[in-house]
Amino acid sequence: MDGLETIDKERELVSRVSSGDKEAFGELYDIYAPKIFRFIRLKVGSQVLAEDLSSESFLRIWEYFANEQREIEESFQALLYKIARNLITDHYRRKSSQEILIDDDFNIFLENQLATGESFKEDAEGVHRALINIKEEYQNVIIWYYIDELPVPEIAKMMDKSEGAIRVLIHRALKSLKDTLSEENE
Amino acid sequence: MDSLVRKIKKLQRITPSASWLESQRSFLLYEIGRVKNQKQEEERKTFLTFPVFSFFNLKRLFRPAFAVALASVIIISSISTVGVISASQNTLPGDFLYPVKTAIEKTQLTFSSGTESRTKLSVKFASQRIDEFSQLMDKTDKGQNIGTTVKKFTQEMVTVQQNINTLKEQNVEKAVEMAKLVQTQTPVYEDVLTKSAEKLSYILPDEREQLTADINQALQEVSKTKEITDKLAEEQTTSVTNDANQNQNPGEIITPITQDKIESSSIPFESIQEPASSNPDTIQNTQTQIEP
Repeated sequence: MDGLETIDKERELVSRVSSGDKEAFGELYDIYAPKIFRFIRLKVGSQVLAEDLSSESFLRIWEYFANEQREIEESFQALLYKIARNLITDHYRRKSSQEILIDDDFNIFLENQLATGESFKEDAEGVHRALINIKEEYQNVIIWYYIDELPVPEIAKMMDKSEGAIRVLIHRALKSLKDTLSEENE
Repeated sequence: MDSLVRKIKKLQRITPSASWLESQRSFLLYEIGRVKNQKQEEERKTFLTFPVFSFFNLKRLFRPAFAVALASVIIISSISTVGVISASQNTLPGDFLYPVKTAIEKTQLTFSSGTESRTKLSVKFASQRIDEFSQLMDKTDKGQNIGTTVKKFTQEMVTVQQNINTLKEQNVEKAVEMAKLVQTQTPVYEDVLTKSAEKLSYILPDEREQLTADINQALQEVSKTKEITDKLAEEQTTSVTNDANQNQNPGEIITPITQDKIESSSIPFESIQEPASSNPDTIQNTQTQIEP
């Protein structure tokens, strides 16, 4: 989401959602569902779980906006990512590490969903494996900055940090990812 | 670092399947609509149990101030009744004013005289049920009322059959006239019911099997109704042809009245509304069954 027009459109949709407009919620779903699914899919091992948590994120945000009638300070996107992060954390708190390993079907997902070349699968699988092994904070900035291509100020708001701190964090996250990849390749 | 960034960016290609996105969208909108309705219903119940509404205490009724208030309520209610009745006509099952609509239908039936007008009414009500059904299929928040509406439609179809059979015994000409009227509607019913099957899997996946059975039952009754009306129309065609054959001059060619001519005949029945989503042009005259 960038550009004032898009931000205004989002504000208008959020305002309609706050008064219980389902169609406006549908429009926000169309904009954010692919992103939120990808964010969750990169962090959880199972396709089914990623789908469930994506759905749950949208149900929760609907309840938050439509039922509570709160004053919204964060953007819809920031709130949606926050809900998704909390759901992922809750899920992992409930599960043992053994179950998490059994769940992992990312490579099958790549084979089924992306009919692409071998080099792509290798790269994607390698980066994903390294990504899930670095700090959660680093995972988030890498996904938001490089994959979702969110601007630094937006990430700063979402993480409640200064823009300078986010730039440093991105740099460290990238270094950490590179080190992890090198370790795995050795 | 650049090559690592390029590798990371490859993950942008991870997207959910289009079918999952669409089915989840329908599911979410259905689910939030259901929760919203549930909340509204709870609020309504809370409102009705509010102490003000437990005033049917005789001692209070005789207080002058209370009597004036009650009289005002009665007057205002009488004035607003017309508005309520009019508003109820566009309601759907599950709406607050829907019971008003069905109560009006029952009153119309009670005050109708003769089998002919009862038959007309039953066709009108069947068309209204199918219209409601068609609209409910597009409103995911009202999915729980779909099954009941289909069953009510099936009942109306049975009533139409019974009324036409009764009318046939009383007055064949009127029965044929009614049969022609029904013939204009049955293809629409079939079309709406058949097309709805495609939507069932994502509107109400859990109840799909039961709903498919209900829709098949409805289609069977539509088919029976068609048989009755077609037979009646055919009998009339044969009788007209025979009469014409008896009266014709030797050598004159008689053109029998075809089914097309029967269907294209103008029938004044403006009160029947076609469902907006139906398209009679694409209808086939075979009995349709939906696989569960």
